[in-house]
Amino acid sequence: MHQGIGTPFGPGLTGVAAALLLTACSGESGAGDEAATAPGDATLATLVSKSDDLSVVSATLEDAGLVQVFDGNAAYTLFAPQDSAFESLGEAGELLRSPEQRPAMVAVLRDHIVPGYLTPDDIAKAVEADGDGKVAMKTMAGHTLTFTTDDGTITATGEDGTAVHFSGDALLASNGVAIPVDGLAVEVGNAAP
Amino acid sequence: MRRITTALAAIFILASAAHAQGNSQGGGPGGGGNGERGGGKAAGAPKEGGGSKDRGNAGRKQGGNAERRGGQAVGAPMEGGGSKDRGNTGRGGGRGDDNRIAGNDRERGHDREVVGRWRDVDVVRINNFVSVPHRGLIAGCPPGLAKKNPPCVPPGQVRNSFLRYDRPDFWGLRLDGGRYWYDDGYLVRLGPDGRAGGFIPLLGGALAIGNVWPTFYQPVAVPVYYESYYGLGPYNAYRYADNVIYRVNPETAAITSVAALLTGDDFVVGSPMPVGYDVYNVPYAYREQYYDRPDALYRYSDGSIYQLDPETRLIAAAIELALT
Repeated sequence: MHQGIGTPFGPGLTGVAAALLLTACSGESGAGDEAATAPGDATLATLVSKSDDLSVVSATLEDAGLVQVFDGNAAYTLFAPQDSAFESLGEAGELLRSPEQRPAMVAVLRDHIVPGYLTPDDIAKAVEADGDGKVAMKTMAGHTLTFTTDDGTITATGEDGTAVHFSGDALLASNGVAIPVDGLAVEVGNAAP
Repeated sequence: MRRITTALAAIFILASAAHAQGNSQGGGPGGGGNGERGGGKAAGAPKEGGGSKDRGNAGRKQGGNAERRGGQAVGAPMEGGGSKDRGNTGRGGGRGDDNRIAGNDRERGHDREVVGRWRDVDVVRINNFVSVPHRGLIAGCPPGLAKKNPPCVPPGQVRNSFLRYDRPDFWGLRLDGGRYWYDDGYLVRLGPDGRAGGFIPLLGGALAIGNVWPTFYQPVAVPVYYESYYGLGPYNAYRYADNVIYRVNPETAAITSVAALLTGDDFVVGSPMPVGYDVYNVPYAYREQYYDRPDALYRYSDGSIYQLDPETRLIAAAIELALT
């Protein structure tokens, strides 16, 4: 059970949000935009743990002791790589999930976490309002994720140019948002032979 | 210029620098002082509208801080100085009466308060992180590598390594140039003698759940607001390193969980907002109160909401959030 944002306009966007995306020009956000997308009482950690396609991320949060971060008072938004994102990396993805590589996995995830509560609507509106059509958010690894939109799909690009796309419903939690993405926004390199 | 900062990364340096092992990074710890603050005045301090109720409530929550900063000559405080123009009036209902325009309690470095002791070392509450150099390597060789034969030398071939592992930037660390490699929970820097010259313990590695907090990272107390907002408990129940706050067993110092991830960004009232806050990101519970308007934008980071001037993107105010 989770609070999800439907995707009639594109991944992660509601019809209301789509209208906002089409009409927004001031970049203003906040009151009045959220009535249809109010989060439930569940925390971010809870929603991620119950998601069917975020099991790798959920396990990492558990193993690394990060669950309390996403069960706590502070708000975070997690651009959560779906399980298929790790599978698509092949051997590198498999290695990344191994216990001995946990620090690397955590480092990668930190690059997918930004402060505060961002919905796909918020991001789409900001992109739309920006003159260059791209906006950036600071990650918990000290880097930035840059967001753009194309045909209703929101793309997040890491500093090294690795791009991922919003994929699936956003999980709106009492203390943040998890937005599934279809890859890792960080180049992890290739596993050595 | 008055500062409100969350650049917590700096206290790591203070802690490690206090340790006999030294620090291979340049720059001294500064002793907690802040030379930048001296010239600052609050000429650019924002006006938040009327209402002094916010400050009164905040004073009850964190009254000790307000008293401690009294008399510090770091520019006129945004609050605590009796001015009437710092409230949240006009923002609507919500939690406005409980939130707090941040004052000087996070901007001073020279009023270092000893809050206790940990294994015969004073634990100091750090209030000003701004001018303290960020991060640093612990000199020497990490424990695991020291036990290998031969000790403290880089592996001839790193098995199953990822190319990016050997770059400090991969780990979110801003370190000097040089050759680094990942080794068993640490990022290790090659020294001039071809052996490990310094190292940093990594989240999920050396700083994993169950591990005892490294002795080379002396504990420090973070500002009271952070203790409250992140529910950290007393100074001996948490540790800090590299923009991460860890919970520890107060008796054994074993890491029990991660309490908070921080950006470590420096937020200075009157200065531009750090890069990377283009999207409205105010926590849901505060959106009814702090929403972007033609005359004000709001962004959240590290436990506070910052009001920005839409035209200049200068930070007009820092708002500490009430606890629920």
